[in-house]
Amino acid sequence: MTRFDLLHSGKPCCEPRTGWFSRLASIGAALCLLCGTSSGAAAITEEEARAIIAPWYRLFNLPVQGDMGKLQEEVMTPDYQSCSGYLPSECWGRDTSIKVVGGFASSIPDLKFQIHEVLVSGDRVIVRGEVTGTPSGVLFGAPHSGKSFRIMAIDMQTIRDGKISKTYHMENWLSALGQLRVQ
Amino acid sequence: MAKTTPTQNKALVLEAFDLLFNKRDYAAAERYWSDRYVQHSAHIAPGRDGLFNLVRTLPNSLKYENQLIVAEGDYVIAHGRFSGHGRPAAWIAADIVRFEDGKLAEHWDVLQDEATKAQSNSGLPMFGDRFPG
Repeated sequence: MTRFDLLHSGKPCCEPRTGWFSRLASIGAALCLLCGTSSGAAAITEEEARAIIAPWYRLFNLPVQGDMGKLQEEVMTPDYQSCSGYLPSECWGRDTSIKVVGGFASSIPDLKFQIHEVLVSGDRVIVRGEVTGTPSGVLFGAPHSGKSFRIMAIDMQTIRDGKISKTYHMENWLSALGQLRVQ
Repeated sequence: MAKTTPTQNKALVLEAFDLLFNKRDYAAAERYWSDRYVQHSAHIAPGRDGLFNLVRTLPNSLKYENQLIVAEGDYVIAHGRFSGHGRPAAWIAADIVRFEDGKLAEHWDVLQDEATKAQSNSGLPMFGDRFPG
């Protein structure tokens, strides 16, 4: 009896059975985690996704306490990549990513990332967020005005082995510039 | 849900406290607290409902700020300040939380009124870098 027989027996793969069948069903149920995902990667629940990404988003909201190296290793895979576009300069590795986020502590000291929505599909986690802050100086060419911005961010995270392995992200900095330049 | 790590637990406590005490988003906060939440605080009624119902009675000015958060195993301790709750002085709090299945499952607290400079023997603020008032 194979996983495929269980799937095609007319019953859902994870339905409880009795006796030796139930042992095969549990194996089938475990393998079912691979069912229906595009790349065969393990699917995660929304709860698991939220727990995995929570330490990453915490970095935006507070100056980071403790050992940054250890935090990096816990939250991101060694080959982590963060990309905001398709040009080579728009992708960063793990070390650079932490530096960029850490840099906000001085350039936008009250930066906050609020998670509004989390969607999970296979090993992908999509986060719709709200980013707010008051730049302490010039930001992307906008002169310092003391004004604040409020923009949308969309992140698509790939989860591997309980860590984030890739982030595609877009923030509406164009809107932020408009808000900062308003007279 | 799979066991969460201490690093994840610290971030989850900060998210949960911000959603409940600062954003007052009860629907979003509910997912962080176990439905079998055990309460040891002398100030809060039992269960998740006890905590949430207490927050519902507090003024809109309620604010929670965190100064330090540490975690080991299933436990998290958050050193923070509750202000705007209608009392004469803000509350400096050490909240101790035990995690189970990725949720806040049990809670203890140690609370003390925030001292003014005149009240302080040490001459250093209990929270942050300045005295209240």
